[in-house]
Amino acid sequence: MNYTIAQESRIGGREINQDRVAWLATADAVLMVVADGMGGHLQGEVAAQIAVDTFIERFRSEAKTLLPDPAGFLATTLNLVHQTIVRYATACRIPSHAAPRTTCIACVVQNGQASWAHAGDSRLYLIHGRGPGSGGVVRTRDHSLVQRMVDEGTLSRAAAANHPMRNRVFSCLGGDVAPHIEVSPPVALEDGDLIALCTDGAWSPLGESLVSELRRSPLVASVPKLLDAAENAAGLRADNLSLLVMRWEAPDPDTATRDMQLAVPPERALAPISDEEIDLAVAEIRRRIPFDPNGASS
Amino acid sequence: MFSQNNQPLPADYELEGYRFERQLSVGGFSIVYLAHDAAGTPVAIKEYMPNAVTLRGEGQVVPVIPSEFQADFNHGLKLFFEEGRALTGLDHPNVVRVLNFFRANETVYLVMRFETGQTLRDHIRGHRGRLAEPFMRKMFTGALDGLGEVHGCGLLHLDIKPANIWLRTDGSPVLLDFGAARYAVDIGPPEPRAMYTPGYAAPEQYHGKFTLGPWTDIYAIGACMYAALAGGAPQAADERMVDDQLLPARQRWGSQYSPRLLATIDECLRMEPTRRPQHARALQASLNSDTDADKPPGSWFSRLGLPGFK
Repeated sequence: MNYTIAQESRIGGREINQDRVAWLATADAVLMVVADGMGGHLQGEVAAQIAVDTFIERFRSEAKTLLPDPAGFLATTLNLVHQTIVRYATACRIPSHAAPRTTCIACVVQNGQASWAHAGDSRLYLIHGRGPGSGGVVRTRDHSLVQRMVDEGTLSRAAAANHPMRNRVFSCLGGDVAPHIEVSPPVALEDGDLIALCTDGAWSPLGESLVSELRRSPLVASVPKLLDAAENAAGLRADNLSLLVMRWEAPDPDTATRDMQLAVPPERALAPISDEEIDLAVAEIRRRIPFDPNGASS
Repeated sequence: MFSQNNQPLPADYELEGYRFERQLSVGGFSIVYLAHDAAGTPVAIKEYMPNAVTLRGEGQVVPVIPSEFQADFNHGLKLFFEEGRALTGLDHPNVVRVLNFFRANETVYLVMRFETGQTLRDHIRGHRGRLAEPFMRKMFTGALDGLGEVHGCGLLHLDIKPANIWLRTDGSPVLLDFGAARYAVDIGPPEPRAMYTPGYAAPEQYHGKFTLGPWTDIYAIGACMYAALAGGAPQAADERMVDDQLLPARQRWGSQYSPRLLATIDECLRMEPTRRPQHARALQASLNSDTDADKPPGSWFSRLGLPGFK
């Protein structure tokens, strides 16, 4: 399998980062998870951490090296996360109305197909790249009141973007209401397709630019750039924001044999870093160096 | 892969306006040099040079990277970038300051501020442990200010040990060497370069059954405090998992330090991650939550102007 993954999670203007991002791969399958622990509830970050930990643990034990049933795996694991968070809250004697909660979007890529499932308003975008389906974008439907109003035709898309209730979700993991878990049908991937998982702190301020920027630049550059843009747009009180993006590359019959001969284990045979990517990374780090009134060099 | 050590850059070598003076330290993945910038200010320069996959002989500057090791070299390069990103995002008096980052000689260089002083390791050795309580509290409060900032950026240091805590001549600490640092949320594939130091690494860094988090660095801070009293590292966590022989600080130094300090050290060194102070601020609060009953025996301990060195 040939793919590139870039990810970043930022605290925004908050005191703690309640977002969690993780990915894990065998030689033949990749799991990606993003969870947004919910503010206003005690220990949202614990709920998000439970989500990520549960996915990682189950993927480790079930993916050998493929998952027998990706859709089943996703649905079962999301339910398990919900139960685990509820048990945690009970053990800590946290009243159910204040119990930790999290949204979650998880995606499995194997056999050239992507499967995903979600609860809440963390999103997945599938952006078709160079293949025949080029131009199309698929995204998850938020489990939010605002999205429901848009679907019912009682609210315009533009009004939804600024609606005071836009952060309210009707489905999440943890808490006293059983979650609505939505499993999407698998989609065949084409060379150059992008899969982006993100929290509302990232997608909400970005709008259309999320997709256009991801299409335009290499991931190593676009992911930090998009989060910069989201943070700037959201201002001082920016929400936690996380973005994980995979670029899928179709297997190339001419290089497959050579890959097999690499001296590194398959999970380390990451996409090679190009000269341009090295320059971009160096430039990015140089930009981040804080001004130092005492440092003569820099 | 290669086992012999790579040669350091020669003395008086000049690069990007820096004059290299000498090698300060060498690790498996990098060489750190003392150098001077154009104004004569001393700086520490870390050169990415993974020993196992690069060859640089006497008098050579550009390393040879055999093509079969290019993937490993690149993988490490990405991790070196992570260190660069980690440090440049941090601007705190108790965290080492990055001054420059550049690419040259087929590799990359991280330039850091160099300050006079010594490592906590050398300081502990010089005193054979038994550091005084006021110094302990003030110094670790400062180190925890820095660590809190690190965690606040979503980073874990993961290799805190006395050799990686620099003491300025005024006694204030600076956290060094973020070569093992990782974003707390970055739970990628198994880390081929997992780095840890026995005695300071938390049990979850060995068994992998619990997510690494701020509590992992807290264990290491506890081990540093223990070492500051004992003169050496506590029993390694992997050994403790089999047969825990670590004498609690309260038992070992019960009459010489305040119960509060000793209890705090023991809390940090708990095997279960959830039973340790969960973050730097919590540990600071625990360290500094004095009541009269908590004062050490004798009257020599006076209240300190805590916290910090900001």
